[in-house]
Amino acid sequence: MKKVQRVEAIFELLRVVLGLLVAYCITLVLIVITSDVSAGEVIQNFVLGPFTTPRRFGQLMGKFIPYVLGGCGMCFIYGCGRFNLIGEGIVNFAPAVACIVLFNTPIFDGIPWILGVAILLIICCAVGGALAMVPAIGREKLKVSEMVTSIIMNYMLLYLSLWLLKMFFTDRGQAFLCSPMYPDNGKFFQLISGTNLHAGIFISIIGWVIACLMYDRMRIGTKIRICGSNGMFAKYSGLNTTKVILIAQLIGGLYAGAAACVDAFGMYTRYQYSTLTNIGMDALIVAVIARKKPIYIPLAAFVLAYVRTSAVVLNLSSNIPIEFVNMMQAVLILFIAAQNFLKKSKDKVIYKMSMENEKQEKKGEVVA
Amino acid sequence: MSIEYIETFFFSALRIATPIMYVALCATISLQGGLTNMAAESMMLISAVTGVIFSALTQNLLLGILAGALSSVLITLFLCFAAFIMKVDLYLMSIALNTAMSGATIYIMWVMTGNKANTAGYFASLQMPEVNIPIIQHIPFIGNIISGQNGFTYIAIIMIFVVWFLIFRTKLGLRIRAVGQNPQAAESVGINPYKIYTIAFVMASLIASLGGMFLSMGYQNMFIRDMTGGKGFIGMAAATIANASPIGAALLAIVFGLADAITNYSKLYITDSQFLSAMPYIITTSLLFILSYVRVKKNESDMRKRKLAALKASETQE
Amino acid sequence: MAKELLKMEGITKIYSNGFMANKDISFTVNEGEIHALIGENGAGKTTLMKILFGLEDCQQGKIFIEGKECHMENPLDAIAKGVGMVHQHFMLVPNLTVAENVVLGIEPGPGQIFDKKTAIKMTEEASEKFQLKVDPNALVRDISVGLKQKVELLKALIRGVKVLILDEPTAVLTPQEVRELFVQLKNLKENGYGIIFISHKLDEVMELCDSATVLRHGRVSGFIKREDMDEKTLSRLIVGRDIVNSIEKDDASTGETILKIRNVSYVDDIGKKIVNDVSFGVRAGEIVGIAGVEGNGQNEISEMITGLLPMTEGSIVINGTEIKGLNINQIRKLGIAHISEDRMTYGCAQDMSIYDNLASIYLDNPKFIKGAFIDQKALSKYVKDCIEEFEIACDSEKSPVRMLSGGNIQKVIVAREFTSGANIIIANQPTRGIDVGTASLIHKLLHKYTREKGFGVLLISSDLNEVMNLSDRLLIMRNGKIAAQFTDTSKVNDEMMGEYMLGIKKMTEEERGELY
Repeated sequence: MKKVQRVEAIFELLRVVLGLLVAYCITLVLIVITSDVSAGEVIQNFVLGPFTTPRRFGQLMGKFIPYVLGGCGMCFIYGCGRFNLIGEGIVNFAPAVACIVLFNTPIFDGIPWILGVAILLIICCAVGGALAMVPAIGREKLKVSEMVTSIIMNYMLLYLSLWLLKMFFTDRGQAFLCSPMYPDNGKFFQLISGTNLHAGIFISIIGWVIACLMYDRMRIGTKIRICGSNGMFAKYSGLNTTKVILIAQLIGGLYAGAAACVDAFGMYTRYQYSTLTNIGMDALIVAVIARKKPIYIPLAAFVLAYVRTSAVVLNLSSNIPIEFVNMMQAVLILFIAAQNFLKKSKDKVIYKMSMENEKQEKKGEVVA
Repeated sequence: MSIEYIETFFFSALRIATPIMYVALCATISLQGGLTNMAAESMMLISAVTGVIFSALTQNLLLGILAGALSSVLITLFLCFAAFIMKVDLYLMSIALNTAMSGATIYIMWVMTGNKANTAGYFASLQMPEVNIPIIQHIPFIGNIISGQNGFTYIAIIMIFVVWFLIFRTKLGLRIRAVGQNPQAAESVGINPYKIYTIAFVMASLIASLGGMFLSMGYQNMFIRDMTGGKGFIGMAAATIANASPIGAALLAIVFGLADAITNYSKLYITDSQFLSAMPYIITTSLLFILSYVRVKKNESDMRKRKLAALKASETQE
Repeated sequence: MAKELLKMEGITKIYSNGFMANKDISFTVNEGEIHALIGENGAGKTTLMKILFGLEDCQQGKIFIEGKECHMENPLDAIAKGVGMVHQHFMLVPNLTVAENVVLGIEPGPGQIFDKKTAIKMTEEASEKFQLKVDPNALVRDISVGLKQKVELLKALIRGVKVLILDEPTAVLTPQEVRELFVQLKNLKENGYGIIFISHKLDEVMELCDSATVLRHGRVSGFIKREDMDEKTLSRLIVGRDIVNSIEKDDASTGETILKIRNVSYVDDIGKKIVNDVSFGVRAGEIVGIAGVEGNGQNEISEMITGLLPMTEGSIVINGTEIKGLNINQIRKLGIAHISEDRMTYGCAQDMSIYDNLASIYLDNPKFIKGAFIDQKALSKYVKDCIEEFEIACDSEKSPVRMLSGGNIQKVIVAREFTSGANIIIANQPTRGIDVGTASLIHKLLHKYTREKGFGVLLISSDLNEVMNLSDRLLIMRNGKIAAQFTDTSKVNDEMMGEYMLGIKKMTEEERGELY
């Protein structure tokens, strides 16, 4: 029985690794075939690119930081079987609200950095949590698909945050729509100057630890897992399933808010989002790669951040649009989330093992 | 408000509602088959870009539309393979596919034109013409609303009846409905549910592709990145609220189309372009919640009535 | 001698987990004959019919249709070869009309067009021919259960089947509808059809059937011709068994009534009264058994007590508190533990660990929590104790439940429910489909907890042996009512119970005595 468990774990890992490899290779081949960039150049830039200079590696880390937070949040939302994708809109909207406080109130005058960042984080999380409840409540009370609501709301939040930007804190001195430079106590400083590796990583680490604790050790995490695994059993056990599912999405919203905070106030020197960032969608992919377990989120986030940075590097040298890596995601999901991928060979291995076990047991009986 | 004003308002509402109508019909077919189609955005995007490219290359509108429809069918087959054979969660695969197609269309556009934002100026793509309907155009008020729309709009209106006919008057439609409500029952008389799901999705993708091509070959004459802007989901919502009735779904699609029309007319009063851009989505979200509330209440009271009637019937029998 | 229509010979079916469902079963159905297949739940009737209808494969045995050997690949194949089935749970599409349901899969019309008129005509013609009156234009969801059954019959007949399997067709019908069905079946019989009638109800079998094959534990326990049928013989063939006494009987010392059920009724979605004005109680220190043919309201009672199902009327009082308006968690806190009949749906989360499965009801229990956290130490100790005390065979507490055997999964559930701090245990089919060792362990535990700790147990089971051996008081349910009570179970035997369960005998209220 222990062996069966091990085989299952190995195949689970194999599925993820193979899925990643296949998707990666298909993408590479596709680029080489369809663009006039040579194979050598593609490998140099796409495969190794992110590790060639500290600056590029910093860029990778800059993407990694919000992915960890967003991914942890999606573990809870996706873990209880809901597809609330509002994270995308939260990334744009929550920092915009925080910016109003930052630029339009005197709160930040002369307060220490740690306090300033804490205020930003709290505002972003609060906004994120509140927003995530809209599609969640719509689903539980009115039976509107949370996916539809959240995606429509994402567009709404994008334009509303641009509107806030223009109304309240735009820097009129700039040619494009953006806020003034963040003050020093209103941003995450760079850990290694000249790179995107910023102090937000501490938030990510703390957030990840909390997520792991919450998921495995806290009551709410266990409740969420039970609801996601078997809703009828949850009900029978006396859990208030509606409440648990709402809380799961609230947690997801809080984490999306935190991701928004570290991205907006860490990666940039001013608020300058003009489109949706795709962080919300990527967070779902991260959660899927990590098999919904927060403990694996950093690994998954690193992989996706690496791929995304590779695309940026390749784009700089050959002008291939960054969005092509999005194509990779369909193949990735196909392999990683497929219940039937490698199922036959797994069943075969387990069958063979149990046959051998039986033989050994029989032999043992004869000897005894 | 003058009559002309109202006329143009409804004219543009109908025009803007066209792609939502297509998606609503597309979603109606899959909903009747018991599945929620969240990949309409993918279907629309890929056909929008393929249609533009092929109409430009062949200089033949029909060939362009055919190529667009075919591309939509191909990615739908991929989706069906993933969901029904590899057993990936259908929602998850749809989301991944939507992201993938958003990237793929940009990449295709870049490979073909070198531009990442739109195809304007690179392609002499064709556009579906506007059509004046002989007699109706002279009817006052109604003529000005209905006549002179884009060809795709008329096809959409025809499609309402095509979908209605497909679902309620063909053998396939009967099987789609049977599978949608009780797959086991269908299986017990030898109908393979997965085959029916796939056929339903392919048909849905054909209709969605027309919606996609309306955007790039009717409303505009070029492909713009991410030009669907959530319309696939709005149509989906319309179909759900209409309980998968084709006519109801199309009518609700027009209601959702009003969101854009109202926004266009608010330009006279609101000058802020960002807020105007957000407006259709604000209106849509509110509509979504209000209509769903009405639907939930209605379904609840229907259920209660039926249970009461059953109880009464059984009591009189006793 | 009538022509032989169907013959099943030497059918043996062993499931992949080693359970032998059918052992060397043979029977024949002749033209113009109604043949009954009777036996308890789990006697192997359903498996046998699944084999005949192409839903399951068998290891040994042959099927002959009109003398020709056949193998059924799938239901469609079975229908083509002349075997049709009316399932107990109707295979109908609610939002389609009767005619559409009847012709589904063989739709008339040119090309892809569905010709509704012809479909209606086909239905009307068949309806006329077989004297099964239905309205072809009505929606199936709006018609009564009796009519639905007619639609199912038409569905099979219109496809030209010769042999009809009816799986407990009367279970869902009103007496009037049953009478109508019998007239129709006799009519079909006269037209040369062969009918296999699966039932629990002896009076029906005796009224309708020409011959009967009785199954018990997957084997044929008897074959009876119509002229030899009488209630006693049938009843003995159905329930008779070797008595295994795993529990030493002793007298219960009962306390006050801790579970009171008063005038409780339940009406389901289609308006059928499943539980009809039932009142009884369970006292501390006793095991009250409920026996009965499945589907007579026992499940609904257990689900209403535990809060999974809202009661339509009446009141349930647990340890002095009325449960109306309380949620499942609050009801559990009053002192209810629940072993559900459907282990895999309600009892556990397969993909989660033993640890998590044991923890599921303790997530708000002050014993195992520290603020927002789970008290790992306390819970770990509890889980280890459970594994030890209830002899759960597993590698570690972190193994997912789906890797355990059925018996061990049940032990996990029993462990959790018995130690939950409750003093009333609702045990619904606690030993169904699990190995003898685990079953006897669970029996001993039920006994021990009532005698030593003063628990009250409500035991619902279709295993007569189990209820007879364990119960201090034994109730029998039929048609949503309590049909009988035995206060001295040592004087009860299978036949007596069978007679009340199948409605051959009835008890007056005086005979029944106090129900507490």
